[in-house]
Amino acid sequence: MPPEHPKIRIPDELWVKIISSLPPRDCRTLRGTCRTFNDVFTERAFSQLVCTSTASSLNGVCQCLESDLSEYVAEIQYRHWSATQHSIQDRARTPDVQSIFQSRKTIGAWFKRMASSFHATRKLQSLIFIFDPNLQSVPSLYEDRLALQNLTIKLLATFSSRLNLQNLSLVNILPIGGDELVVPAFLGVLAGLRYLTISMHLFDTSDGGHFHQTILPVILRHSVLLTSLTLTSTHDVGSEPGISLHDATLPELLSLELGHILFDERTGVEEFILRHSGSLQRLKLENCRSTRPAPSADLAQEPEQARSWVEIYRHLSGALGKLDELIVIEDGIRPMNVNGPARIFRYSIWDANVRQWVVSGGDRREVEEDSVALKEFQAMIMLKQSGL
Amino acid sequence: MPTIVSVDDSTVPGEGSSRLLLLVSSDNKHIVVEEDIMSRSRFISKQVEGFEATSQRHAILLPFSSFVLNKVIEYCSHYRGYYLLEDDPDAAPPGRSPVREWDQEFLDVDRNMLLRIIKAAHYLEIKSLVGSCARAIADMIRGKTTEEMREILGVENDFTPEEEHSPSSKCTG
Repeated sequence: MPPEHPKIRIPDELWVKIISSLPPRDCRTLRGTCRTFNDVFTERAFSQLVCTSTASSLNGVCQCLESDLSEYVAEIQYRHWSATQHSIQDRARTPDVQSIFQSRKTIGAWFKRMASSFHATRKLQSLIFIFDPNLQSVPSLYEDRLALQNLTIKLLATFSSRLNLQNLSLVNILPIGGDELVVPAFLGVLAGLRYLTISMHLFDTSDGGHFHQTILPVILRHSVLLTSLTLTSTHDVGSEPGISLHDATLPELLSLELGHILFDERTGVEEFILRHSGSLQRLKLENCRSTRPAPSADLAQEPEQARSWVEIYRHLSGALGKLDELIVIEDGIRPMNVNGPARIFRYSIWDANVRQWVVSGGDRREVEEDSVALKEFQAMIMLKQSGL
Repeated sequence: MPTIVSVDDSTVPGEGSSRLLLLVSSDNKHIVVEEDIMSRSRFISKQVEGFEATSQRHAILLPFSSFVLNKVIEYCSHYRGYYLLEDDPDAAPPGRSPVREWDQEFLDVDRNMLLRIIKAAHYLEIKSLVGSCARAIADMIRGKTTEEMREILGVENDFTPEEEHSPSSKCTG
């Protein structure tokens, strides 16, 4: 059997795992046991806080921010950020904005308490809000979420002005509340950001027009220091309604990720990429297709509107060749579109790391042209990877 | 809490269909175990893949004692044929799973043994066992005073008296 009190050293990351299952009070006690725990683990364990909208989690994070542990906090992630856990009793009522704000008092008050402690943190640079995507079609859930989203952004604008906020992620945000994002206080927050993620929760392809055409350009105009921009959406945007990237220029942009943003000529996506080709080092395109509604059941009509990879490739190849990292992901045609009213043209089913190209859509002629362009592109990537 | 999902008996490989591995502990004990049992360990799986590439079989040397290794094998044997969410996030079918009470009894060992097991599980890349050990260790010190935690974890107070009374390392019991 082991001798009395031997020193069994385990890697720091295991201690972080152990600490992460302890409540803040016990963590503080643990810090007081010896120098190692105090110096190493506190910093590691509290640099990132994860908060969900349950009472215990909100309370834990509040306690942490209000204690001397706050000086270690560099990032707070709000996951499943939702008002619904606190509002079950209110859901039967007919929601109007005022009553929702009343019923939001609980979570709103928690968040306000939390946000008012932001100024005490020395290292907090990163705030990540992952709103609960589960809205189903219950109207009050939607209203709840919207109210929470607006409240979150409003408090963020109020309380993060004194922060040196570098990274902001808004995931699953509803487009309808977007106006809150362009109030002057929030634009002030944007001005200092280096990393911005906006991930839209849309209900269908016709949703989000106001956001993408009006609000997004304002946001991008104010986020002048961005080195990393991620714009994604749950449904394709860029055709109808459009998305406007025509005027945006981010002089320091190194990394660009787009998801479900269509390479429609009206979006200005290609020009946006070309405009940043001098600084861009990383480009990730996920399910960025070209699409148009079929004019009738006869899908053979109007092929001139389709944009093939050949066309895109000619336009972008010069810029793409300078990238250090290029990732293109195509999930393939989603089942809902196979027999649906919209026709999807696959023009970019490639990935710098994947040698094989599988075609499962588009007409034959277009596919053949695409495969020639793809081969050229792959050859260029291989040349680049071999360091020539 | 950890989650487990059982698979149909029909999908569990039959006895004897698995190859044998030779594991060698730091106290030079040779332990023969079925590959299936140890496939939960990503470390072992990667080693085995390496063997296949060279079509050679080797013993796998492990930097912990047979006492600890046997405990890990016991764990892996118990969960043979189960998908554990932490180990197989892709394979595990969705749905509610029972809480692993067995782990609590299995890990009802002294602190040193627990630390040795978590270290071995970390080395072998068995996430579910690392998670269970981490929770077990956290449970041991939950709600304890600073002094009790020192006792349980076998650490010594190496703060200077000034540090101990400064707010940044203030102890709350």
